Amino acid sequence: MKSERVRTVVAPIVFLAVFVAIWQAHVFNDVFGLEEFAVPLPDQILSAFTDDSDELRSAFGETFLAVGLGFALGNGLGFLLALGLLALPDTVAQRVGGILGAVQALPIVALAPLVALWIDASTWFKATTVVIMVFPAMSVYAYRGLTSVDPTALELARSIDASGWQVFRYIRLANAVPHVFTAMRYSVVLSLIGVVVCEILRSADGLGYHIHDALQRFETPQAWAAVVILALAGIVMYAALLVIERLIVPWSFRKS
Amino acid sequence: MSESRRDTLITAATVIAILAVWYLGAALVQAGDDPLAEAKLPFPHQVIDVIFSNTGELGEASWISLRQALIGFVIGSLVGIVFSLVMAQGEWVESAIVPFLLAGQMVPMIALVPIVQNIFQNDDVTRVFISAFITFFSVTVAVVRGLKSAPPSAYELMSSYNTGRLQRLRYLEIPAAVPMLFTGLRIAAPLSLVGSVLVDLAGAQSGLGYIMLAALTAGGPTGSMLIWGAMVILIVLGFLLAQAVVLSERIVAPWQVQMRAKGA
Repeated sequence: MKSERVRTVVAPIVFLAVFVAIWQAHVFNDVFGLEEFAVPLPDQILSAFTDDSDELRSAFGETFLAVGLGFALGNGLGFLLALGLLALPDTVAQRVGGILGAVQALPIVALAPLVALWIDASTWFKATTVVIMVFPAMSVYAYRGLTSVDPTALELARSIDASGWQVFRYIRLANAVPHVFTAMRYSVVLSLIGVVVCEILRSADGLGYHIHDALQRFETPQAWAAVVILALAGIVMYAALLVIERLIVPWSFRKS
Repeated sequence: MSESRRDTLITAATVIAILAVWYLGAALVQAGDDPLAEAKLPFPHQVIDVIFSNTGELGEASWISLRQALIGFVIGSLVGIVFSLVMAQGEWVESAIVPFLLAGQMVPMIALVPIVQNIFQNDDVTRVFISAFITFFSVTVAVVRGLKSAPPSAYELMSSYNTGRLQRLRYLEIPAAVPMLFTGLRIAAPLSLVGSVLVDLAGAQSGLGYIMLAALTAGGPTGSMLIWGAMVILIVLGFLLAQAVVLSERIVAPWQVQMRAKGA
């Protein structure tokens, strides 16, 4: 047990260190015949962070304003929609849920050029695309959480004469929380993808544009630095959601 | 009988309701004096009209996007399957690499498109590479997880028969990984297409994304309508790809589908 824990911590760190060292030693560039201006070395990428920190910081701000807005509005809208479905008769709600589930499986990023046609303002163009990408999953998961309650809990509530609000608050809403977090974890990467696609498409601002722009200026390390930021951001947001979930609903972790 | 008939009726009613809302919305938008109104929200029949009056251009672009996505999808799945099988044979190797594969799922791979384009300087190679890369991650994570999904009792049975490692892999772990593999493939299929199209949006000179971008920048009501045509095709193709994976699971592993239906 203890040796397993050591392994799961040590092995990835060693792997990453060796990987970066080999990369730094020019091995990848030599083996695949890649020039340094196409695939820069780790230390060049690292120095891009300090050399161009202002540019990267403002691009980061532009990107994450849109990510935050889209993520919050999309998940909020999705949850409201799930509440709305709860008010509808079951057959209709299931039908709508089925449609949302199908929409969720589509390559919905394809809508980005269309949103560009509707919305000129850069931030809202990105945020709206994210909202459209993110809300179906939240509706589907939240509705599932609100309805998949233990029937005995409902019976208990009836036996103690609980009010409709109490049933909603203490049974349905509580049951939905883990589902809501699952949907949010799923939509983190979606919102990043949506914003980056919009930025590459519109070529006006943000990290996505910065990647493109830096490459045009032959400042490849800057482009890689922007990619590293995006990658780390995705991982950090995901991890943050896990931590918050653990604080709010510790019981859903204790089970597994 | 009446149950299924009721089902069809409800489905038909849903489709009609969606179309009605669409027509109503389009009528409202087009009633205004926005010169781009037709492109912003055309009537459904106008979208169909755009697709049919531009079949040559759209067909060629779809074929480019689809073909390269498929090549990438196949390469990515094969590499992913082999990679995960090999990796699962060593505990240390697995614990060293799996965290990065999982982290890869939280990273917007799409951001690599301009970088990869810059390395290869070739639209076709970039499309195949991006599609393969995206597929590789979904498939590898799914297979690694699937290889571990056999119940402990099955392992006990295997060891009571004194089976070797390869036999255990062949008769227990690989079959156990099949359902997860197909889940991974189903998710990866439309994504590989999106990856391919994104290369066009990032500046390639052909494919569905190029048509969208050209229509967006060239503007004009009729030009912009092409965005709708290309988008509908892209979404339908993505849907069909995912369905093709579902269908092939039915052929390759029919027991799986039955078990899933039973809720196992």
